Amino acid sequence: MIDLENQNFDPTITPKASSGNEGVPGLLVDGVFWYWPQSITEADIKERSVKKKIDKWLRRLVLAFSLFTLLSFILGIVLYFDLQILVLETWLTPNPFFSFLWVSVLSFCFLFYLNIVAKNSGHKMPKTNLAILGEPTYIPSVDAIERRRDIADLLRADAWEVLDEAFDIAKQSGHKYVTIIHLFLGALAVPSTQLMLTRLDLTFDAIKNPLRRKMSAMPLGETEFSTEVKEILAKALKNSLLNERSGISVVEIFIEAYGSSEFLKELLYSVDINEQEIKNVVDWIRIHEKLIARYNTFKKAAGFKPTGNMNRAYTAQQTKFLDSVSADLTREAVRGGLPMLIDRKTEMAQLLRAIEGGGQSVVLVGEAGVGKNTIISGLAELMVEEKVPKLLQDKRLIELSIPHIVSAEGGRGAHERLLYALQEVQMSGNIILVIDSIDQMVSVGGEALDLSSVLAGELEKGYTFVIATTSPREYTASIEGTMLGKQLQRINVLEPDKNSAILVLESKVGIIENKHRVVFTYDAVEALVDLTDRYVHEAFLPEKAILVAKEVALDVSKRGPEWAKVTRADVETIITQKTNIPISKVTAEEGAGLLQLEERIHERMIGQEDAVKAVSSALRRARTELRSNDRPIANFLFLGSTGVGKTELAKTTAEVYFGNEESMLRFDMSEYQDQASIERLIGGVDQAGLLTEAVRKNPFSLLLLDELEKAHPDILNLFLQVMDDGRLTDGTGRTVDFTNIILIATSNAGTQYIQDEVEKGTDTETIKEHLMEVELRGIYRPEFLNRFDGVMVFKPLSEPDVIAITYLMIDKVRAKLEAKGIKFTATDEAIYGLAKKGYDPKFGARPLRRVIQEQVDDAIANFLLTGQVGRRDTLVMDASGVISVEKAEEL
Amino acid sequence: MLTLKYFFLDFFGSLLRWPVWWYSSGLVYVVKQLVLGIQGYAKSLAVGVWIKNLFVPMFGQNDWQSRLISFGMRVFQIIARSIFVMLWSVLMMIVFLIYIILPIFAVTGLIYQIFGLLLGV
Repeated sequence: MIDLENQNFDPTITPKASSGNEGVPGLLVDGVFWYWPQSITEADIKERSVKKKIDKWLRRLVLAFSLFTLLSFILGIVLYFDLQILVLETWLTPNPFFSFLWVSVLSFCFLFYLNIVAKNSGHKMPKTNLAILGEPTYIPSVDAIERRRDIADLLRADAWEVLDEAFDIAKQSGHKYVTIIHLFLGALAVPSTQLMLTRLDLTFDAIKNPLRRKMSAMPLGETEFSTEVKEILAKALKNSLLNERSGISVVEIFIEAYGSSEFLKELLYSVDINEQEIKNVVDWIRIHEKLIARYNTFKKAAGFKPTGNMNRAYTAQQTKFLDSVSADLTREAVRGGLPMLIDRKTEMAQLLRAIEGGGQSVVLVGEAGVGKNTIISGLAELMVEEKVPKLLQDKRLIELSIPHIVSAEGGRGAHERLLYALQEVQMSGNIILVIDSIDQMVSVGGEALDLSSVLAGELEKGYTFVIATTSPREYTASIEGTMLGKQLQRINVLEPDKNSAILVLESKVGIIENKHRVVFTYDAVEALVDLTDRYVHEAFLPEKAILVAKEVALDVSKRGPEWAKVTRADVETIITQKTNIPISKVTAEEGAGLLQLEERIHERMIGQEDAVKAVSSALRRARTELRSNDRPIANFLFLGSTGVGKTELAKTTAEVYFGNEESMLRFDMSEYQDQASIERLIGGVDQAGLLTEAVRKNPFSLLLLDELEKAHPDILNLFLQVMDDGRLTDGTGRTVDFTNIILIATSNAGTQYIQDEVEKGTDTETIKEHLMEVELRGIYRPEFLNRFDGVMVFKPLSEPDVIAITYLMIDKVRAKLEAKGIKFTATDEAIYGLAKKGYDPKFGARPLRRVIQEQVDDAIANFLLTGQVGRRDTLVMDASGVISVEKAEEL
Repeated sequence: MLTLKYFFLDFFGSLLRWPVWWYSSGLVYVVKQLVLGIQGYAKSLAVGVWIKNLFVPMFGQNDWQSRLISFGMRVFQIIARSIFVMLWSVLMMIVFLIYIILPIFAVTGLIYQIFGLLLGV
């Protein structure tokens, strides 16, 4: 006999390595070997389903029989004995109706037995120390083990369904073995898996072909359960033990089947479902069940909590005034009207510790939407269940409404009202006060209406304590360092991390789903947290994700049928609408556009191929999400003299990538030459910064910094941080996100050198190298230059470039005239003439604009004002630069 | 056919197991439920809280007259509530006794009736 108390002893028990192991698989739990002894045959399946039906029918039959006999007795008594059942003799005289009574009584007893047994049927999960629970093992033969149990005893009804279904599928296909694949298919077919599949956004159609191919290669024969399936059941047992489940259900079988098969992993991966996602969806379903269980225990406990003013000991008093300016949170909790608290164990422990240590008042400091009030709701719920320190037991949690105190009588007498309310708290003795946004007490009204010092004075007396909330900014501005601040112990409530935010969202999604009649996939929930975290600023998780979830649900419910699926794409659509940032997958059309970005830019830009190419590549990287997410989309430095197209390229980029030229935030750095101008850019204590405010309002735009070399060196350090971290903290302490901007700085530094070298015919790379290493050294620090993704040298424009630009500009004139119904043509000679006049190697294409204004625009304006040209006429510019009118034919 | 076979197996099997269950697992189950019932009732009446606060004045009235009235009231409440808990316990006990004797009584009654009918007529 093998000693099973010692779990890692015997060479005959081979630890499971892979399927293909010989022997009987099972799981050792405290010396008991749990395994699957039986082979399921078709007859077994039939037998079980028949038994289940019989069980149900037997109970119905017994109930009917009991009622029938009882009724017969009553009828007999009423009809034949004239209600003489109170006479003892009636009972002692034999008659058939009394036999009915006794049969009926016995029958009811039998029914009671059947029902209780049915309710308590199934075995309880073995209890064990989870820390030492081993992996499933293989043993050569079960006869070697004395203590062995049948895993089947622990299967829930839906797990049985999976096994039956899996067997059925194998049998129908004539397969010799029921394999993991059959098990997986069985799990897909069971109704209770449907929610899980919807959450995963998985349909059978998407995977049926590979499955069919795989199954067609399986050996045929008399169907029986394979060893690997028995091993999966042992694994499922371990999984349910680890997750403290009440039995093995379809969920455990599903996840273990998936986890044990490389084929299934690959299969689901091909439809964009990875291991983590499966795990999270399973967790989601389990959390839901846990929440329901928690709610049920809570409801039971809530039945014992008094909901009136009075505590159990009847020591409290009526608090009429206080009741009129407050809300009773414990009563709300008993009613089930407060949200459930998820996670936040640290904060709750801190809160309870502060209170337990002698009734210290606390203030929860956190941004709006991170869940301060939910923590207080959680406290109310704990108080209902009385799972709190003694100081809080048999007490009411009352939320005092400062607006109610203040608003009466136009604010006069607010002090008195607050004192009166506090007096009631003191006399009643069973009240814990909650004050939401306690900063309201400080900044209330215009007059000297500082309620906070009144409260501070009362708190000092020590007869009660408060639990308050406020935001970090308000805490710094109006609480910290004041009388009241000294009374309050600060507890920081930080924004939850993504995982907890997902948990919170999952717990809330049920209500949203029921309201709008939609179903969220896990992908959508994850996207809600991810994308709001990345793109929705000025609000905090989990609230912002919940708000967007509601919007998405509403949107989908309006568009689709009932119980439509909410997918990641739906979330992306709403976020794009809200932020104007393109985040959905690149469509084919957009993809083609991105591939031809250079051509599109060149429709507006002449020359500068290198720069255009670098910018285009950066944009493609950004749109396909290959860029890093904690820096701006791209940082570029454009070098070159004026008029060579630096600003034009920036404008074109803004138009091509962000939709229009206006999505460009332009800062002329020559305006920020002294140190004091930093404050203008990022703001001071109570003044918003020009740069930070602009980016905060347009987080998705192009930031153009003209003439960067003129800015004060400290400002360059500021941008060093922007380029590195993608964020900047403004004067008020707010962090502004720069990760969705394209930063382009232009500079005239080294212009003369560029011109000279280009004239000499030096190639661009050499020029750039020299610029970076010599010319720019004195102006920018090397680490600053290194932060740029690309430094582009804009070459001076050549004559052919200028001619091409002239064509573009004349085209613009033509477009303007066309709107007035007038045609405009210019001969090539005319255009060469204009180009020649407008070309200046030093100023690039800049003089050209002025030349066209003087020679073309002015002349046309004269024609228009004198009425010499009308609709349908043609203006012709000839080689000498003179413009004449060709009248259209009379109609 | 299979159904009929299982039906009779199930039915007679249950019938045989039933008396044993009634006085073993069933008995334990019923006792547990009754004890829970008594505990729940006692908790909702909160007699313990009343005893603990015997000398604490009710409704925050701290003058000596109120304290006196309070004390009297609390003594009365404690007695009344205890009586209620006791009555409830007695009731549960009766239910327990009924559970024990009911099948025996019914069987006896049935036998008496059948024999009476057979012999009497």
